Amino acid sequence: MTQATDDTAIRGRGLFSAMRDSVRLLMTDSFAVIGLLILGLFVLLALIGPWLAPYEPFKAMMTETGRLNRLAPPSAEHLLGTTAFGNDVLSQFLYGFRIALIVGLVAAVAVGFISTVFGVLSGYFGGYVDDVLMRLTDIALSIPTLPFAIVAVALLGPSIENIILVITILFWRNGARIIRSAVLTERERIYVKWARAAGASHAHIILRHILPNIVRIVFLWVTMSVAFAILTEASLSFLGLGDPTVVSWGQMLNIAFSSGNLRTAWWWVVPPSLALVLLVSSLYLIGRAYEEQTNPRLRRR
Amino acid sequence: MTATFRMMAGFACLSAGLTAVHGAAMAQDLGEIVPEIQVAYYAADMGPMYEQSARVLSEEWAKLGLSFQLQPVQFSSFISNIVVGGGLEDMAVFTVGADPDRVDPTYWLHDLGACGARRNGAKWCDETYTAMVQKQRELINQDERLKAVHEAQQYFYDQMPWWPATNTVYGILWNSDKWDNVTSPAPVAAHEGLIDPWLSAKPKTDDRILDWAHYEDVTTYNPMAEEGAVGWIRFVYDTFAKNNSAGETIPWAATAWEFTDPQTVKITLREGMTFHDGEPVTADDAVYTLNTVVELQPPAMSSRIANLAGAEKIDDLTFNVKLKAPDASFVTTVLPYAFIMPEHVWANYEGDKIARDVVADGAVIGSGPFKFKSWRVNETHELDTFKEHFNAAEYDGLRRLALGQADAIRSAMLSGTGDIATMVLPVAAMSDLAAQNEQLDFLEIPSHGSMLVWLNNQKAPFTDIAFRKALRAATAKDRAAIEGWLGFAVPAGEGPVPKQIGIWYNPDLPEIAFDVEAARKILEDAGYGWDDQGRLHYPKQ
Amino acid sequence: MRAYILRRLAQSVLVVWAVTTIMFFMFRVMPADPTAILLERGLSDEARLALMEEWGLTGSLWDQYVAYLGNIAQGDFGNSFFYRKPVWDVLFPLIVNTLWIAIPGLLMGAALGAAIGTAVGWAPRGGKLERSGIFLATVIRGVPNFVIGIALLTVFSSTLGWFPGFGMGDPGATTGFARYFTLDFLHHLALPLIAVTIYFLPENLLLMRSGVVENRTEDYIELVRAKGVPQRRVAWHAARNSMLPLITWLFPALAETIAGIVVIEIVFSWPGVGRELVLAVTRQDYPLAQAAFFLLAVMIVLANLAADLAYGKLDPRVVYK
Repeated sequence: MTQATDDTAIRGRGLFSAMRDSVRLLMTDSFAVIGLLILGLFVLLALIGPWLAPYEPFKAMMTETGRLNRLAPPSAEHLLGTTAFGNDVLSQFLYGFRIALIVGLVAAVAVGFISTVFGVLSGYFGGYVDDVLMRLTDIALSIPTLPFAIVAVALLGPSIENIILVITILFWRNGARIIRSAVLTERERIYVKWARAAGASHAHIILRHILPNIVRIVFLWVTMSVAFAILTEASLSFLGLGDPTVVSWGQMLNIAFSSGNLRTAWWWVVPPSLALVLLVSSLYLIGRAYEEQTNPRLRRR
Repeated sequence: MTATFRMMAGFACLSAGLTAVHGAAMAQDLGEIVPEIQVAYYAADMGPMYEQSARVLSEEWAKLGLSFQLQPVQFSSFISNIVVGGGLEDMAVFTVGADPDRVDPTYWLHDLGACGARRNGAKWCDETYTAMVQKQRELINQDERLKAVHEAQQYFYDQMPWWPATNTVYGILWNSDKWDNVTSPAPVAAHEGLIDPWLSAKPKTDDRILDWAHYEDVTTYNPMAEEGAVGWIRFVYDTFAKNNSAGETIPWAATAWEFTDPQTVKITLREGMTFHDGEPVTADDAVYTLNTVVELQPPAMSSRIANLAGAEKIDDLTFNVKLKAPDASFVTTVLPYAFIMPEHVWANYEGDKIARDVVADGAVIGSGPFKFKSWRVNETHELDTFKEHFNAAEYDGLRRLALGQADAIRSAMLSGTGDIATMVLPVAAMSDLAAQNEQLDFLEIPSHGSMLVWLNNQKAPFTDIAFRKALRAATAKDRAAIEGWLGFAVPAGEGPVPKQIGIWYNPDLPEIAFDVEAARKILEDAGYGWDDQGRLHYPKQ
Repeated sequence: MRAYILRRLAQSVLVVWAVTTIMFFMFRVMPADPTAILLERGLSDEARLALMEEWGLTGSLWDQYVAYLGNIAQGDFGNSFFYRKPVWDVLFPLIVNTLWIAIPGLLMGAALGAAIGTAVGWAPRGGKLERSGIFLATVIRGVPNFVIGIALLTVFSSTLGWFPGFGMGDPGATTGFARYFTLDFLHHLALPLIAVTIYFLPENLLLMRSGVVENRTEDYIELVRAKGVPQRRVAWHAARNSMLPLITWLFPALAETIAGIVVIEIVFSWPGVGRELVLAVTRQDYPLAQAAFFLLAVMIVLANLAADLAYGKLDPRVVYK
């Protein structure tokens, strides 16, 4: 054992270098690259979507004779046709990108943060902290997800903030468990013991040794959380519990559904469905690559 | 944490342009700025019509130099906080339904407008008006009452405390290959307590069961526990009268009624009626039922029976109903509502009668045109036609399918499983389906259901009659009807009473045309003014 | 072992209590008013108070809570506001309906997933079969279940007309328990069942595939292979050893299925617990919504308990302590 590796073992490594490594590994997985490309496109559309939208999403389109232009199939004027309420489908669809990603990212960051804090505290310190936190996750894990979301959003009021709050409350628990078990493994590693023996503080060990080594698991969980958050928001909106002041894909489908046009107005139903599938699948493709990384036995030799 | 959004800056610019035309008042001539106004409306769970309507109405009002904040409120909170709770902040846009008892003007004049009335959420209180609308109720003579009702509307119109924007159009979609003579119950929505279209429909094929593709389940078959007055069990339990589509109250289980004095109504029952178990219907049953509900005061019935004092038998087919106070609306609101329960089934029941599970007890016995057959929770209800009934349907039975969502209703109507649909599927979609499918027909029901614009009459600027009239003149009824309701609503008439309820509507009220310029003129004349940004200011104190 | 079971049982009771409490306070603290519909039709103040009393909504929050817990302990969840009868009478038939699509759907998803997952896992790494299998499974996993429902309905009901578009049976068909064994019922069951199966298949497939990939490199597999056993039988060995995570996954998955099936029940108008829960919530029918939620939570707790115990039975390495 040389002096250099000894040093590294005690100093650990930076969080950022660990993240960089993780992303680099990701780029070697072709499915993950497909996922990243789709995701990138979606992020781009979320940024410029409202700017591309030809009309206000709720503006009623009128025909020349002063009638409402309802349920018009795609035409040059309305590339994706109009809804039963005479709104331009393309415009609503484009606004939907932003809402989907806002819900996904905000909720996932919140979930990732809470899971990591709970998971690390619980796994690293053990004892009472662990007992209390784990009993808490026991309770949280027994809450049926979608029914809870339905009840909570119906009671709190249907707004984007509330939906994000409910999603966060729902998904931190699984993450905390997974991260805790990863921390438990890391804690027993020899270099952590060395670092302890060398007098490193808890903060140092957590930041330099534990976190960098579980960063993939955290990433995996955050990626999955984005997908869960988007799916949950879509399901809630589809059930009519979405925020009525914004346009989301789930809500577009809900209006198609509740106005009885679901099975005929394909131009109205297909774009939001397809976008949801693509977005969530791209996240799963990325998530799967992390999964293969975190489980060495799945890695190709 | 209710989501809100502000009206776009565009309107402000537009109003600034208009101001330039009129010549903006000097800043020192103006009072305080009129603050942002909150518009509450039914949240999207009641359908997108309300949001769309609130949006277009505020767009036009904004041209007066006002800014608005739209606030969706869920139905239950809306009712308990705003309609009865006195919690209206500034303005509200919402609908009241086309219930059968609302063909009487009392609901519109008194319940939504008198001082201290429970549903007077616009908080307007005028002693003179209140006395007028209480008086009309006591006038048993129809001509006198009509005159009083029209006068009250004129008074209300001059004060303009709130106004209706549109009247809702309902629809019926039915399978015309299988059914004939499906008649319109207008102005009432197709509620179960009515003759049209239910009892008039005729089968054209061997399928002699009318399948009603409906949204939700029935609550109970216990008539004292049923919410509201319009439910499914009115098929099973006969009422004394029915309201027909001509706006008249016609004989049903009772063949005649008369006020023997302002607080006593003598009612004569139809001869030869029987309950579903074969026992005859007598005055004893009617008296028993009325006295039981007066004694027990079932909460679900409380609003309709509040004025009942009791009933007493005269002979086998006649009895008197005593009222606590004279009430001319008794005939239109209570007779088509109050039902007859069989005394022999109920008198000996020991438990809490209101909570009785009549299905489990096998006690779903009425004298109505249909008798109970089966109930699968949240799936189907089956009733058999009661052939001995004096107005029995020509078909064999009625089924209600609780489908829970519009798409399934559509699918049921297309596949022929459903024969008739009356709700949940939006009216525009019904009309589309009928146009696209040979076997389906559509019937429009112009109703007295109304979308109202309410103002908080206890708060400035709504305390000012000029301000109210300006808002009224800038109310884009047509836009709300076309863009909010997809054309399935009509611009409402003047005054609080819907013109759809016939004679009670006062046709002499001058029509106020939609005119933003005129509205601005009203404000200007009252001393209001606009600043450089086109924002409306109060008159200088 | 017995001590462990007892401890886990005690824990489960605690968890159920906590969930019930959360539920209770959520419903009471929020402003929704269950008398709204009657208020709109002119309910008086006194009558409203009488109703609230009947429904146990008067008195301090604490008193209501104590009364509620007391009733639950006796198995009494109160009367539904909407149906005016005990909530169990309403829920019981609906539970059966839900299980009819949940259990077969999950089992079919698991069986098909396991079969395809084995094939994919055993296929050469980086080959066409493996890559397309993984890719498809991951993409299908990303399809929201209402989109699956919509697609099935559009294709097989509206367009082809092979299956009915809603509900659990034609109106007027056989009633009672016998209905579950009629062709009419199976005809209605098909599409929702397929939707649940598709919903579960990809996750099973990926799980099984991971297991097989892990196992195929184990020494004993090499040993079996070295003995010249045919490929197919070797794959079976690897598959059998990968079943363990799948089986323990099944229990919690069942609970989540029942919870997540809400959307599928709504899309297909299937009269189950989930659909009733959504309707109860929109009607402010607290007792019914609470009971439905309670039921789902208990199912999850029991499923987790069963999974823990089964894991111990199946995997001798697990030591109860």
